[in-house]
Amino acid sequence: MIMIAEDAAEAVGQVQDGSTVLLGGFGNPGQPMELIDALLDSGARDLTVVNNNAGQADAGLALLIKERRVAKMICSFPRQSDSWHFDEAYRAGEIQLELVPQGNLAERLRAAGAGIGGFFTPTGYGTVLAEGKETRVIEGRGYVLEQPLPGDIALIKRCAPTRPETWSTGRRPGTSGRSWPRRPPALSSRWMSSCRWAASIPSM
Amino acid sequence: MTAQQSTGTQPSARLGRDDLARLIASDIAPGSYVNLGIGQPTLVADHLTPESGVTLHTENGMLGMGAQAHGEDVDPDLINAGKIPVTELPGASYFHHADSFAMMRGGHLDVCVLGAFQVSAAGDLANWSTGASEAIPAVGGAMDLAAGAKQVFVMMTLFAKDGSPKLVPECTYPVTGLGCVTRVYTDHGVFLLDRRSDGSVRLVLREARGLSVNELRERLEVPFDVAE
Repeated sequence: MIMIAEDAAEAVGQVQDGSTVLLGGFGNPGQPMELIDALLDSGARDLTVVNNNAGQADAGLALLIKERRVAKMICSFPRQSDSWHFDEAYRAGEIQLELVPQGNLAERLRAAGAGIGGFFTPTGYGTVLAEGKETRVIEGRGYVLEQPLPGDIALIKRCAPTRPETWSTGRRPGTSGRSWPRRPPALSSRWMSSCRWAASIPSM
Repeated sequence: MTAQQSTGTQPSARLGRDDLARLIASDIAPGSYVNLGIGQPTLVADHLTPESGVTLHTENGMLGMGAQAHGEDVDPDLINAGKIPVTELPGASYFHHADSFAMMRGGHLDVCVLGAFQVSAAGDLANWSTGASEAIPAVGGAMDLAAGAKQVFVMMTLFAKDGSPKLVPECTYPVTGLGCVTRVYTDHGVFLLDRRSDGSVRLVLREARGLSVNELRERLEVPFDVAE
C-alpha cells in the first residue's frame, strides 16, 4: 500500500522503541539525513540499526549513536577514522555490535525481503565470524548458514518522484543511495523522505 | 640473474610499492574483472591501460570504476569501497550490494588484489584483524573477496616491521579465508601458490629480490621452490 507522509516526522512516526531500522547509505554518502534527524526528534530508543558502517563524524547515524538511541549495531565495518561516537559507545560497553561480512549482510537483508529462510554462504567459513553457526560441506567446499535479517522499517534517501514505481535506483554505489545524475535536479528539494514501502522491507 | 641468485651472490634490488603495482597490473589478463582492495592495492589501477580492457569492480556497487576524482570531478556520492571519490568510465554500471557481492561470491571476478597481515603456506589469508582485544573489529568485504574471487593476489611486504615473516606456516592472526590466496607479491619477490590435485600447495618463488634465495630460505619458515 502506498502512503505519502506529509513530512519526515510523520514518515518515521511509526518507529517504536526497540524497532529494527534498516538504514541506507555507505558511510555518510547516501544516508537519509533528514529522516534520521526526524528519528532523533521522535525520541525512539533501544533501536537496532543495520547499516554497512556505524556512523561517521557528527551527522546522521553517528548522532543517533551519540545520543545512545542505538542499543545494537549490525554492520560490517564500524571502525573508521571518524567513527568517534561509535568508538566511545563501544568502549564504554553502551552499544552491542554484531559484525557481519559485508556480502553476508547484504544477502541476509535480501533474503528477508525475498522470503528466503536462510542460506549457505562460503564467506566467513573457517573464521571466527562463523563460530557458533551451522556449517556444511557441499561438493567439497565449506559453507556457513546465515539467517535472514528482517527490519521493521527501512529509511532510504532517494530522489523525489511521488510514486515508488518511478523511483530510480542506483545511479550511485551503495546499499541504497541518491539516484540522480551528476548534479541534483530541481526535484531534490522534494526528497521523498521515506520508505516504509521500500523493497527492502520484508514484512510489508 | 637467476644463476647469481641461486648461488647466493648479490641479488637485484627489492621491489618498491609502485614496482609491485606495475608487476601485478602486467600479470592481470586482458579483459579481466578485477577488484582492488583498500590501500596499497589501489595503486595497481595506475598501471592498467585502457587497452588492457580490464574492468574494475568496487564492492559498494559499481563496475567500470575510473581513476580517483579530483577537483570539480568530485561527486560526494560517487565513491569506492574505501570511500574515496572516484570517476566512472564509459559503460559503467551501478547495482545494489547484494548483486555486487553475488558477483564476488559467485566467482565472476577474475582477480582481487588485497593487502595482508599474514599468508600461510596453505594459502590462508589473515588481513582483517590482529586479534587485539582492545581493537574494534571491522571486516567489510574482505571475507567475501577472499571466498569469492577466482584468483586472490596478495600485495604485502614479506617481513613485518619487527622483521618477522608474514608468509608463515600457519596464520597466528584471525583468518579471513582458508586456502584462498593464489599469489603473494612481496618486496622480495613473487610467490606462486600452486595447488596440487591432492589439495596441498607448492610454493614457488618467481625471482628473489633484495635478498638471495638462500637468505630467504633462512628467514622464512616455509619451504619453497624457485621457478626455472
